[in-house]
Amino acid sequence: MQTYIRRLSIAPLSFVTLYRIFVFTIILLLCVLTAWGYGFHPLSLTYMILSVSFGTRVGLEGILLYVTPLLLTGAACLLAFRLWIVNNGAEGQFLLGSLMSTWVGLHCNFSGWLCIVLAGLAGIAGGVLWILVPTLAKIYAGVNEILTTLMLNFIATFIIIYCVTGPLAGSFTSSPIIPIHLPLLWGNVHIGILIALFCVFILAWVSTHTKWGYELRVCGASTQAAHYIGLSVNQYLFIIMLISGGLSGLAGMLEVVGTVHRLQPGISNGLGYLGIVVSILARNSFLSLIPSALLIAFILNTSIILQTQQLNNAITLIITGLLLLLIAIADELAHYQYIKIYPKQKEI
Amino acid sequence: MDIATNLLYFSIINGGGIVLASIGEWLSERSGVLNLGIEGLMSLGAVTAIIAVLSFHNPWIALIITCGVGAICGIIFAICAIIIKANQVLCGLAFTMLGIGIAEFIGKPYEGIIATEHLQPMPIPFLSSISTIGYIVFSQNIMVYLIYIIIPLTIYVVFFKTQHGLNVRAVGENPEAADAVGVPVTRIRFFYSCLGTILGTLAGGYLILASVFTWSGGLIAGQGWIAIALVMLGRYRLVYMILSGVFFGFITAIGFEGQVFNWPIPPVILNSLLYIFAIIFAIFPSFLAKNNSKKWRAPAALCTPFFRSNR
Repeated sequence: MQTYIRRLSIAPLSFVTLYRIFVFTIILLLCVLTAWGYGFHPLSLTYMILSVSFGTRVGLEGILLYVTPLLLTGAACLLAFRLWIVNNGAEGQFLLGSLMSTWVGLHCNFSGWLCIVLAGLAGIAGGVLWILVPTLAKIYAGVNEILTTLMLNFIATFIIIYCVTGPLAGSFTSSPIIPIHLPLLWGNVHIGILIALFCVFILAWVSTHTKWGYELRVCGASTQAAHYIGLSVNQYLFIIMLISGGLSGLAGMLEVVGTVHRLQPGISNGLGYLGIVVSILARNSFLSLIPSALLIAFILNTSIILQTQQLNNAITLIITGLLLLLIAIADELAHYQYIKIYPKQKEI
Repeated sequence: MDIATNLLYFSIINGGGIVLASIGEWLSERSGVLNLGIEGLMSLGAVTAIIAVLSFHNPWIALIITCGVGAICGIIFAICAIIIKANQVLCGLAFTMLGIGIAEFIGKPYEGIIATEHLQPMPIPFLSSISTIGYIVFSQNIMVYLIYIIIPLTIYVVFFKTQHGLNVRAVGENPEAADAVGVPVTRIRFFYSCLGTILGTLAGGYLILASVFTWSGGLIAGQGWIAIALVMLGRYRLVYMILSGVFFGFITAIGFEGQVFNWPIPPVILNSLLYIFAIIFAIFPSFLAKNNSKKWRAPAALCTPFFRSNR
């Protein structure tokens, strides 16, 4: 009997699931061990986290409030990944979206729905505006979008700081509370989660059930094939990147109008960068954005619980970074198959 | 000393970190490995340097410890990205998050403490007595001479004048061909990506010991990404990388001086000047270089893992 290790070009779903479960167990173990090292009793800490997250109303509300922006930024990054674009700038688009919608919310004289719709449109416009320059540079000059989108994040941060200390200044380093609110569904959970889920379902439907989605997949699979059948790849690139920016901007708007109700410098809280992690976890499928966003939301919620236990909040970054690294490794290892070849039995 | 001289002096010091990190990135990219984790590595290096200098009171020991941390990170990165062949972009992004996270976690108690010892200026005899240029260029600390002159010259000689350098460039351009003539592709990629991460980490330590002296959460703030951009802006030529590194150091120095001396420019613009110029520099040369793009392009095998079985 001989054994080989063979590399498959497409990783089977069962392998991927298996490796991912393994990765989650490793991360859980590492967290428990670190907590132990810091002098917490690991089992009681785990029980506390689980009971607060899933057993109390505040914990569940926190998770659902985190899921809303994560679904949208994750969808933004995933959509860009369809054409092999890394949208690193979801953070900046998120911030600009929140800024524009805050501005509309503070200056809007109408009442009720119209103002909310206007704020939503402003948020989308902010996100689109913030990805416009990288898009045009990518199409007309072939500039790598990883860097240009990322640089704009820093600029957006400074603009927000400028706005909350200058033109939109309210109380201490934040804007005044905006008068419009999204309708609440359950406790603090607002209607934004339905909007986010609606966006995800629409994207999933469009990408699998329409001609446009099929052509998009052709463009992503092979540029040459797309050229051959007469598709303009640049046109798809343009539309996809703008939609991606708009989704991130919408996430910013929902965060401001629904959850925080005011503009403050730390409003994005890394949700844009976490969108990349969510989209990697979702593995190129829009519907699986929902469980991966839930997972990341759980991690974020856990970090808030840990902060009440005097643990540093940088731990979120460490856990998500570790998750991303191990998932990258696991997705590669899932390509390998262990096969056994039995020698032919001699016929007598 | 007038303002202009001071600006140029500090632009050379501040640019050193970016240049060192971009040289590291260049080494790694030349062998075909894209390392997007420089930002995290620089943060980690800065934290290591401040902790080491506060506990050993010697900048050189701090730099050596920073190198050691860089080597450990490099080995982990190389195992993930080269031996296991996981996606290099994802590994890099993960290293960015991990590096910044660990740096903030470890560095929390050290925030705002000023380093007791830093790299002292070492004027070169005779040359430093030339009035202005002597002060700007030849009265810097040893690391500046290392970063701007000695390391680039060594790399130039090794990469473009020896057989080994030709092998490394071949690994970056066409690993299958290199493998066919017996060049150890994995070993070369492992070594040069490790060297790249060491230089990237050292850049963070240099920033602490030569120009900033204190650790704070937003110390690196995109300088690692600018270092990666610099390799593309410099179009994979060391000279252009160094020159544009000095330019970015100049922009950083303008940002500092403008806030210290209360120039009539709003601090938003001063703060974001660095990133605005990075975007402009990323976009602008692409239009110029379109007609001779073959000469200016990235290594052909950048970011593609090497599978011997696919040869």
